[in-house]
Amino acid sequence: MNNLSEFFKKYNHWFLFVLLEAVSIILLFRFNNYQGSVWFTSANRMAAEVNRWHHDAVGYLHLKDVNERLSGENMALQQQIAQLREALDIRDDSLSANDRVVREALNGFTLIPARVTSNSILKNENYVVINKGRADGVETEMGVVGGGGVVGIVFLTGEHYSLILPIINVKSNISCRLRGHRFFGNLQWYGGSTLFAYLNDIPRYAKIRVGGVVETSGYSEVFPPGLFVGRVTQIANAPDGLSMQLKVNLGTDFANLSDVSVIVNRNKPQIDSLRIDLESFETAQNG
Amino acid sequence: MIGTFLKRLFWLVILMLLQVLVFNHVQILGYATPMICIYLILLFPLDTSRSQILLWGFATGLLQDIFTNTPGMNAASLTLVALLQPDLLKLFASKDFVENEDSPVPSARSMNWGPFLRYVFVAVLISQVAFYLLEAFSFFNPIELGINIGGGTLMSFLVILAMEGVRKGYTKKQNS
Repeated sequence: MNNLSEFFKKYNHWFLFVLLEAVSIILLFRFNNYQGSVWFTSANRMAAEVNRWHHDAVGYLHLKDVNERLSGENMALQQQIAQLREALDIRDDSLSANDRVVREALNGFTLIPARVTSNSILKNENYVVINKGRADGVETEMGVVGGGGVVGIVFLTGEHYSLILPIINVKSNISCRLRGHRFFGNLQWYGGSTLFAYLNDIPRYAKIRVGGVVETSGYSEVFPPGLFVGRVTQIANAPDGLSMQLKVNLGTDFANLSDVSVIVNRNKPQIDSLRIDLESFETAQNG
Repeated sequence: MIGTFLKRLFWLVILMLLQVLVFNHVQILGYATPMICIYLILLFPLDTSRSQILLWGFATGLLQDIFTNTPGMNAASLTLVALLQPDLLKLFASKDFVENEDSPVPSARSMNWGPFLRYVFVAVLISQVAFYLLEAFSFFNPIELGINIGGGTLMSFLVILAMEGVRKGYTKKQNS
């Protein structure tokens, strides 16, 4: 205690000095605009800096909560995405998703990708040549599809090239039906525009809307059922007056055809062997 | 005791009047205003209590601040000088002066010119540095700050020397 009082007695001028300087500085900041503003701004900056540290520290401590909230949100969003995707899948029957529809219909079939090497659109008997032949597994009467839908049927095969009979050949005849209906008919082309073909033999009582989808029927073994061909653009009577003739806007753009796929029909050998069996059975019966 | 106090008060009034009426208007190119109030602080003998010097320094500075409208600046710088005054005196004065039982008032006569000049110069420099640092309150313009400090120190030093010369002559006349 004695030491303390002696300490104060000995160094009291220091305390006085600090006090007086403090008073001076307070006066300085209080009554001088310039120094006051400098002090104020730098004090503000200091305070802001300290506040920022505090905020950072608190933010770091709260990271766990934030993380949990974010992952919860993430989960909810993922769920929403899944729901929306499902909804989109259900709604999606438009032409824009053609490629996907075609691919889905072809699911389970082997496809041979090929490139168009020669093509014609101006004649009545147009042919398409692709760069895959027997060596690649292409056989006659295999279906050919492109990104827009059905292209045609393999007509002749070479070793490395094949000749395709496209829809836009007057000899072409593909069995098609209307999506959502039981009615089917033959798709034929009569020359002229390569954008349109005609679907014949649709009964007159069929209720058809313009814009309906025309797809393969699956009756001809060449194409699996449900492949997109085109859309109905005009409904008219057939020349014979007994049925309707639908003008179909073809999904495939034949003027701009480059990449196609040949559908390998795995059932064809089985069906062929059945036919052979039938023939031998018949000959055995007859003979 | 009361006599020295009144004497100092008289000195304070004289110095303040000189400062406010004359020297505050002395400027060379806008710089180098002499500040002479520090002279009062420099004249405390060694046996004065340090608290007393501090209070005198603060009061002098505050008074000058009131007249020059610079609250705090002179008070702070003169308080600093008041704190350092005894140490500066011990540092520069001769051994005889420091160990003198009578504790004479620091002057060119009692200390001789050389130590007294150094003592005054360093004290003035310290006060001017403190004052102008507080005035500028930044190192944004160091050249101007340097000119201010240098000019102020030089002018204050010269004026204080002149006053010291007058005082020395006066005391000599009195003694003879």
